[in-house]
Amino acid sequence: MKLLWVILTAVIAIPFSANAANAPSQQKVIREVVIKAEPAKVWAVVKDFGGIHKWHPAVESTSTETKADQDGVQLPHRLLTLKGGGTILEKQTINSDEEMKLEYKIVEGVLPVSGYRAVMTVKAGPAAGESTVTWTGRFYNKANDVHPKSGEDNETAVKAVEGVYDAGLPNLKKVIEAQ
Amino acid sequence: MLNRLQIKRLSVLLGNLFLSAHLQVFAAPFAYVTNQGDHTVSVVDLASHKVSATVPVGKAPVGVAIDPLSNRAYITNVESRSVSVLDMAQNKVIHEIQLGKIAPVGVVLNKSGGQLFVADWFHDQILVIETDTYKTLTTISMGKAPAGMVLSREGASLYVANRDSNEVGVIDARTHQVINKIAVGKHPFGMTLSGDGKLLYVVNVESNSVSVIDVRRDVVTTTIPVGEHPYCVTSNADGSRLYVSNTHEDTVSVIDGKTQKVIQTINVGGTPEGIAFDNKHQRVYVASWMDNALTVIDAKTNKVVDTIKTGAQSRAFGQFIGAAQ
Repeated sequence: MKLLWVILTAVIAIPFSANAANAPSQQKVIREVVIKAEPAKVWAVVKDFGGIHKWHPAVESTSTETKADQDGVQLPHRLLTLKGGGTILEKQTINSDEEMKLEYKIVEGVLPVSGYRAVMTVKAGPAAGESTVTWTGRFYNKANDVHPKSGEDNETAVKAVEGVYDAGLPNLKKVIEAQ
Repeated sequence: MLNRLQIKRLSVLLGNLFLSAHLQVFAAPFAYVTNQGDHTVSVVDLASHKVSATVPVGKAPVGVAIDPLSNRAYITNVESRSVSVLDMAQNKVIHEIQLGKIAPVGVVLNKSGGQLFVADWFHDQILVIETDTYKTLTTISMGKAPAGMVLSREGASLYVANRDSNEVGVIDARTHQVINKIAVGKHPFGMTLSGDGKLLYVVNVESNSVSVIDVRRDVVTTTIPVGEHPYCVTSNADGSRLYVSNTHEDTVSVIDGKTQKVIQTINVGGTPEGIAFDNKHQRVYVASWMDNALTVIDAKTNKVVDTIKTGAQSRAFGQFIGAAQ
């Protein structure tokens, strides 16, 4: 059997602002997984904004609702209830079949970040009949501060997001490939 | 009497005249892309779209200014608090100007190339550095958190976006006196002169807009809504098109210079930051912080035609395209 493989790429921002400038520096996390399925099939799962509990092992349930965000724009929102407690409220800002791109932002929740924006994309390849899912996150530390207290710093924020992606993508692969 | 730099400039100028008159030979333009995450500058050949060199500079490089006459690119290093002087002919750093406690971001040259203006957004001031001696001649007190800077076309005025005081400061480039302050939107950051030199376009990061300033009168004539969290703006050669990078929606807004309206929005690489226009090939280059790349837009079709891999966290803040002589 051909070896199934997972590409993991972590790119972590250097916290240059921490000692130099007067604004906290943005952080980023990028993760990829190759799934043995056609892009259309993978995208159907990824684009289901209210269905993340079907593949993310840390999410117990999801409830969805379309409502006005802080700028008064009507957007789909999802409330994730995590296994072991805690919730995360997110709003969907892009869901493009043409680009196979889902973008959403955290409104509030237990993840120790601020200004969090995530993008999930599905692309064909590398081999025929395979798809590559890329999950990227951009965010600031929870304190959104140059001198955050422990537990609200860049390292904590990056580790938490890495944890979410690393737990989610392998299971997304498993769920789709078992379909 | 001419000093060393002036003699060099004169000979370069004469050489150019000779070349352009008889041979029509020009060096291909290059993009000098600062990679904040791996402390390098990617030198990208804009004819072939290949990275021709990766030059190690100081820590966390962000800003770029190019002096084509002396073949130098000046790179501001936020973390090492210095300016790297890059020789564009050799693609090598020939000097690192240490700035002590200064956190440099924006950087621009005066008209002759003899003075370098460096924005220190930690201490709300502009440093004036002599490029011949690397000595700081003077400092100019500015508004809060000075970021992007632009020199007027004739070189008389230096415009500074004071991010945290929501204004553009105007400095007399010869006397170094602050002569004006122009209120703009919230958090002005990157700016550019229109190709014809008549208008100054300033992005307002928090207002999701661009303020347009008539530089003869130093007044805001209009404010154009753009995408989310705009960062930088560039103009084509005649000022008929402006291009704005919107960091929070991964797009570039195309503004019609005549109607002062956004006529198109183009999807580009993640978190687009520095943006510059290459007149030779009529293309727009945008640094993508998220994707570690340079996105290439054809200015005739407004379509993305290429993506060039650079280094970690590309910023390219400032006028980062120039031709080595």
